[in-house]
Amino acid sequence: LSPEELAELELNTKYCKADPVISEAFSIGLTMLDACLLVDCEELYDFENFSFKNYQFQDNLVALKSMNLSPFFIKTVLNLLEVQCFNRPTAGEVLAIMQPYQR
Amino acid sequence: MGNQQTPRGEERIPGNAVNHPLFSSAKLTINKKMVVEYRFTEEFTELAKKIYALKPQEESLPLLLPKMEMSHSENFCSVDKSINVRVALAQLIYDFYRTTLRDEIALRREKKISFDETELWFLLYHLAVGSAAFQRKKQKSGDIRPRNILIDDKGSIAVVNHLSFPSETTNYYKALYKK
Repeated sequence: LSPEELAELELNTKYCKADPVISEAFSIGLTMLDACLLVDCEELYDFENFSFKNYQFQDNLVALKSMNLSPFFIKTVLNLLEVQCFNRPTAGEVLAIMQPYQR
Repeated sequence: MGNQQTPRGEERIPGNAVNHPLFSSAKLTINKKMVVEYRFTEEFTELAKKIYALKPQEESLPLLLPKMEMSHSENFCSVDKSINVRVALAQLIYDFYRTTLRDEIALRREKKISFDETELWFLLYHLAVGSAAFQRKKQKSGDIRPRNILIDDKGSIAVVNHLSFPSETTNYYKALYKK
């Protein structure tokens, strides 16, 4: 779930207005964060209160930045994890970013 | 449809698998008070047979699972009835793959073996391909997370949709639990 989807869940709206493509990009980012840090990001969600544990999330982002990975990779994952949905790339845009590097 | 080898090398007879009690009926206990019995339709059994015949995908294209109708012995429950069908389908599909990303992460956490960057790019690429494939089909996975990402013996990845939905997170369940 992206932050905007979680907000919709809290409002209990019948039809989610969040852009599913953009929201999915956040899910990909979180999955990558899981894989990078070997953590379980599902723990970041508090479904009882429809909230996202932002402090813990920010800690994870700091840990990601300090990893021995290329700045390009880290930047790509961080872009996917943009809390502001309008700053987040779609999966298609990520593929386009990667395309020049494909063999 | 002949016998098949699972990724673990075990011989499997598809016909026997779909006769397993899990796939002919299942019981759901909610809060130890209510038992809802599901009986899967013939249509589901046919679908299960087809899925069972699937071989691990060469490309990481998503496995799209159609929503299935099934008979329901009670009519009081507002929980999404398709959840349990998905669980049964998930069981079928998981049998073909060595592990999920979630389990792989847990294993690596225990053994303190990180993914290297090549593996991470590989994963990112296949997640993006999977998500883009959903978009092309005008469908949203909506549930990309490590437990829905399957990894086979060759290390190839498949993204599956709607396989896991924790019923305990539904408002219905929570309301029921509070009572």
